[in-house]
Amino acid sequence: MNNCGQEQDRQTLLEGLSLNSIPKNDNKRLLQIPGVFYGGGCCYMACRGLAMSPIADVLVITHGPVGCAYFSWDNSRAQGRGRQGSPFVNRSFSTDMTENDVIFGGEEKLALAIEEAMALFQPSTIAICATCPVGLIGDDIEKVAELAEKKFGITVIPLACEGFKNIPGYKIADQKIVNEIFGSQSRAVEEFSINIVGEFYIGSNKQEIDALFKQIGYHVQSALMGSTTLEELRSGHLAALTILGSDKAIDDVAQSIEEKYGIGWLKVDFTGLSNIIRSLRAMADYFGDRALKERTEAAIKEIVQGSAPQRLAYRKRFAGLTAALFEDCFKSDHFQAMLADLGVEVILISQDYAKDEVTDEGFLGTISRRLVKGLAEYIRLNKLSPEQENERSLTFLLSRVQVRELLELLKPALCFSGITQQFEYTENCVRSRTFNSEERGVQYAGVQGFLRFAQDLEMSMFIAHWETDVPEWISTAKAGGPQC
Amino acid sequence: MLETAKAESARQALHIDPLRMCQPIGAIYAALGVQACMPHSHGSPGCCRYQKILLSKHFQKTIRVTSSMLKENAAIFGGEENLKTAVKNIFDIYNPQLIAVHSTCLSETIGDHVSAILSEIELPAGKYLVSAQTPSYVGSHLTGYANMVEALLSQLAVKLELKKKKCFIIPGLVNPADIREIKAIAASFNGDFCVCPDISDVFDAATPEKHDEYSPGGTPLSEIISAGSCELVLALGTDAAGAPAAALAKKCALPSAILDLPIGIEATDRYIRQLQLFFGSAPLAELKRQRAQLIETVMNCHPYLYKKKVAVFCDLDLAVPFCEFLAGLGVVPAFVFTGPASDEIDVRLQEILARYETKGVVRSNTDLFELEQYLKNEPVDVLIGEVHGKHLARRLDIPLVRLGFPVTDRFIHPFFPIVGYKGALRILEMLLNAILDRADRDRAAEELSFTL
Repeated sequence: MNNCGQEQDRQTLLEGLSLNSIPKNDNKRLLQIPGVFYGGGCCYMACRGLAMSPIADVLVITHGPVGCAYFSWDNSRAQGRGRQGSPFVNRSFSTDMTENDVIFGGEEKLALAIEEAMALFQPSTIAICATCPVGLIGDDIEKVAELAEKKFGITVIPLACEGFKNIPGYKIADQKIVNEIFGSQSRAVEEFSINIVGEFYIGSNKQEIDALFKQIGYHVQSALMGSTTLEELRSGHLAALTILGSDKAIDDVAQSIEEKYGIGWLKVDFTGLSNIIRSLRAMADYFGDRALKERTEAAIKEIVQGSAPQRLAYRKRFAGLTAALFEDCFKSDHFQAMLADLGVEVILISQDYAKDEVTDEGFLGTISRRLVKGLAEYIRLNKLSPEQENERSLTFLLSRVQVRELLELLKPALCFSGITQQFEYTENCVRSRTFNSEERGVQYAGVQGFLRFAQDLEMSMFIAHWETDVPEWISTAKAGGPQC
Repeated sequence: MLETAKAESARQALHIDPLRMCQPIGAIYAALGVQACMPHSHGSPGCCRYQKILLSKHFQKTIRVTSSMLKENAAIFGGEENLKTAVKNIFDIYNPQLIAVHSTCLSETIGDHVSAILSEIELPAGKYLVSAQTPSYVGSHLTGYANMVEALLSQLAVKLELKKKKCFIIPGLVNPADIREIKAIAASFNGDFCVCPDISDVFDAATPEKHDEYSPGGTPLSEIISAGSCELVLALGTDAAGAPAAALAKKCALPSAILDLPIGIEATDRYIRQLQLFFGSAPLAELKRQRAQLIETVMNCHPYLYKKKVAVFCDLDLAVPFCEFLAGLGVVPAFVFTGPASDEIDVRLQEILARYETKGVVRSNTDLFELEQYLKNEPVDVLIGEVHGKHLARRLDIPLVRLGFPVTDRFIHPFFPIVGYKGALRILEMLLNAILDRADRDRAAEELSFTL
């Protein structure tokens, strides 16, 4: 490792992209074409799982058939503060709606379920999440919630998040919290207090970010979709800044916090070193406090220098490698940022969102100019012309077959194919099946998260030799040869 | 909190920690056991995603399911258009031989008549459509399995006059290794048989590389269509396999028999005896060897199991043979908790307990929370059940033996059978290890021994 390389690496990190390059999620959505594999969930799933389950002191009752409650039981998102010893965490509550309830209505059963939950667990807040049949049979969960609030003197949050709703479920929950829970209490506020909006603030990500914030002097007031409590959310309106870091189209929640409570907001991303650095600087700039800025710069210096030996070693190891990344892949933005920080070239494949009425699938392939050079023949034969271009890359409109063919030509060393598994892997390409952080329960935020990602990348690219090695007894066996 | 069992009887509406899933997941499992079949969920986009995640985490496999993507429009105007578009897209893009459509609580509540919609579709040559009604608010995942298998058989099988000495086996919701073992035992009689749905070489095969390729396994469609030529339909498990077996028997005028899943000594004995009577051949040396090995092992280790108390929570079709096996070993099945079940099953379980002069609390249509209340008053030595007993095991500090469906937090288990004599050995090993590991953990260091 020489000093020159180290300096170059530092420059890449500090001067790479500007904060504007943090992707906007407003228009990003997964296509929902009947009969075509789909990686997303439903309204209930996002409301119950993403938005409600990380709130430690809320008992969530699923109003509907038992299946939805069963499948949303796992609380791996619900790690963090206030979790130990809570009598209702790790449990699944539902009204176990039966055919009878669907025919005659389930309001009474829901009211009774709340009563029973109160008797057993005495929660300070209950949330009701509606499932598909509820909206159709016309159960008035608002009314049930109102009556229960009066009867028990607690907060009851009705969430009409029926699975078929077009609006994303996390928005239903978060708007409700912003409109009705924010401002219901006033806790003493510390300096530089912030609200977090985004599903990243859980588990080991949370630990990483908390440590970083503590070092610089930020105080987390509350978190939407992240690990928090309803008590914290009640005084969310007193924060000085909202930071938004989400894969979801949730910008308007931050906007409505601004409109209602006058709290400014910033987009951040704590995945990938250059993203972390840019986010921290933007936050310090927002407050404009000199001491804060100094502490921020000190922290950044520590991040860059502290991670340098490992980072440089990884960059050296990954030099010249290419990875294909599907945009519908879970946390593809983060993968992209981290791969760039590690010097891995990315071929980005995204679904074509341009058309509103999509009957067939189209894909957009963004390929760097360097790689495009090698594709001249293919581009000519297929009469491809770039849809968009910039100084670094070209974007082509591709069919499913063309995506597969291009990947076979470009031979990426790794393929992040995402949960829809449309292109699980192509030949000559190491699969990403075990790389899905969601499935492995691994999180990649912060410096340690970034290094963990680099290690996982190394593991996937270089260690999985058994997948490509062919033993002699197979390679030498010929068709028609002696059979055993 | 909740130190007594009093609270347990007070609940009428609140279901805490369910013991069962909904119908569609069983339907998807069943449909994947047919060759080149695409399971299709006529429901909201998230519906099949939940089930896909659970199946794929249990089997550590990519599970492919399509959905009608019913949204607000469909909820108001019906899902007919979505379903028709979906069927066209599926045949165009994924080219299956068969699409097995199941309904959901959404489509059932809006009143979509799936089979009528499908009947209007012009099918490409050699392609098939099957539909099953699987509303989530009725029954359990086993009901969904039963409904889908029944739909496959009653909509595809034809009545054939010409019969041959062939046995049609419906195996219930088990792991791929269990199907392999069920097949291995049947194959040892050198007779003709067919297992449907057959998820071996599906859930334990390499995931297909291309989107229009299918796993090598699955019951071939031709076998289902010609099921009417069999001379016996054999259901393994009342809840999952009973109804489809009865439907096939009725449609194609076949005799049927319902057995328990061949788990443990007696249930395996009965399965082999049934096949022996059907095929009329002599018992095989290998099966005799396996049984002798099992019996000798039981003789060696049963002192360590005698009067140990266990709580079993699982599907009914597993609960019955588990209970019989355990009680036969001298273990006390102190609690047997299952999802929805008929009264007859309570009677069967009680009969098994009485046969081995033991007692247990048998509860169906209940939840894990109720079991927890009971266990607080009367602890047991081991819990036997699926992964959702994990928190319960932690809270009560009782070892959990992971058996049943789903087990989403451990690897490799679907590759080893729990059915047959081989499977009985494995259950025995798991149970003994749980008990002995716990005994070692609780023992003082100076009392640890290298022997039992």
